Amino acid sequence: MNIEILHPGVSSTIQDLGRLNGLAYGVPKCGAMDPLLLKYGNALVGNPISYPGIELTISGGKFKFLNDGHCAVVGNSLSILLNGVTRLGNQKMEVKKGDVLSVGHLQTRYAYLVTQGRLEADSYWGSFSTYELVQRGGYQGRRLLKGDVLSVKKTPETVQKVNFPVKKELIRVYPGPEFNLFSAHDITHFVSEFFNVSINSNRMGYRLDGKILDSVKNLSIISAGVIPGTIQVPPSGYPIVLMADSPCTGGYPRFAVVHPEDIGSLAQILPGEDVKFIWCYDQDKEV
Amino acid sequence: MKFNVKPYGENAVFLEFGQLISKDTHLEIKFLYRELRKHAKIGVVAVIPSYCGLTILFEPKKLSKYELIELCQSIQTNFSSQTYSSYRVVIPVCYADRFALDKVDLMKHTCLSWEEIVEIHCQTKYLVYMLGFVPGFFYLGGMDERIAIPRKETPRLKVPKGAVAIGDKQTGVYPAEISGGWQIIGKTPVNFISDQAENQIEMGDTIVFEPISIDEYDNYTGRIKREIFEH
Repeated sequence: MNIEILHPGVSSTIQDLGRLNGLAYGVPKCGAMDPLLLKYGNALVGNPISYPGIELTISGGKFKFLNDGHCAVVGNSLSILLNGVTRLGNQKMEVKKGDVLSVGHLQTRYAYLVTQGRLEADSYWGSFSTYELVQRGGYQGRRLLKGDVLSVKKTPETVQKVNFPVKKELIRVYPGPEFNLFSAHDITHFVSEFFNVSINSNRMGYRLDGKILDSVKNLSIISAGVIPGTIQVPPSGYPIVLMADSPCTGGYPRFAVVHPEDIGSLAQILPGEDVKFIWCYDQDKEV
Repeated sequence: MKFNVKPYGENAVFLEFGQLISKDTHLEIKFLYRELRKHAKIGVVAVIPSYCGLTILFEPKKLSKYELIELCQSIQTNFSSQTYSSYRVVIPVCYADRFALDKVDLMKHTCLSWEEIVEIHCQTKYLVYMLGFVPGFFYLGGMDERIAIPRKETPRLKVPKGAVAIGDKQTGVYPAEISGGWQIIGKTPVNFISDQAENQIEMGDTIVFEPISIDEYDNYTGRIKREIFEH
């Protein structure tokens, strides 16, 4: 099956579950911002859960199928039209040659278009995920453009049950390596206040506006390995959550780290919306 | 050297080897890193070595945090700086005006001639302490402080791919076109962001820069060579 991009939206990239074997070489993980949602989509159409899909960002997109096949669009409160007729999200759809699929503006930040079969893409460090900074992986290492044609290789259907990922209202966080450098005041405030996801946030990191964490002001650490989900606090005191495309080393104190199952819920928060965290450790024990 | 175990969520941990950047600490980290890479099957998912520590990702269903720490401690008791060879890598650099965008600033700041600056930059053996920041970027130690220069006040939005530069007491190569504030002194034709084995620099390698002409730069088609440097 082939798919033509009629309108790519603000940013559509091919993503799978990312790569971990390059972390010691400066190669970031990348991969789906909401990995549980991509897994759900793959299971829905009968793919292995690690297959790549098209990650749609905020504005949706428009696609034309050049052959018959099956696909699904997964996400929250989706508005989907197939040849102008309203269809439901999170369902496997049969599509015919010439069908036009249009995904409207999203109510959350990311949705995935998955096709039955394996989307053909460039591999970089063992993953098909797009890494735009060095133009590798996915479709020519870049976001999709109008006129691009993607091909899907037919693969045997698999059966597995994956539940739709429920959005978490409170994002669970664990203490990070430099947690003990922060004051009790900062530790308490971090979970008692709302933070606002800044418009300066992208696939590399989400900046959080709101309460300034000031107990480690102007403190930098000796550069060390970081993982997606890490909450770093730079000299400004405004925390930054490292996301899928973040570099694998950093020099700011690593205050906390988001629970791996909650990273997708955090990723889905639109710029300008609020987020609230909850500590996930035994406060009577030493961390 | 005893390490401190720092928390990093349910599937990662940070081992901290003090706060001092030194070759001795580096060798202990290198040994543990190399040994841990052999334990992927039992649940060591990924290891990121750095100046003074190791970030370790593990699969808690296969390996508990306590088992991982015990494993690291038992590996450490066998530490020997001789186990893993160090490789020497020669990186060709063209220091011609076309590429040395901050040549004048560097000469002014160091009060050295361009020939002296290039000679000093090329006669040093640099140790790769770690990689990170972007794919293929290596953090080098050992630069001669006579050619140190502060970073630019306003970073360039786009530093050319392959630019060789100096920032404060550090030198290195920009492997991709990114923003950066280091002072540019030359350019290497080597591509460091390619996939896997090709042109891969490892932490623990020793790097030497070798001056090449513009003709050699334009006609470069080779690959870097890694040769055993010391055992």
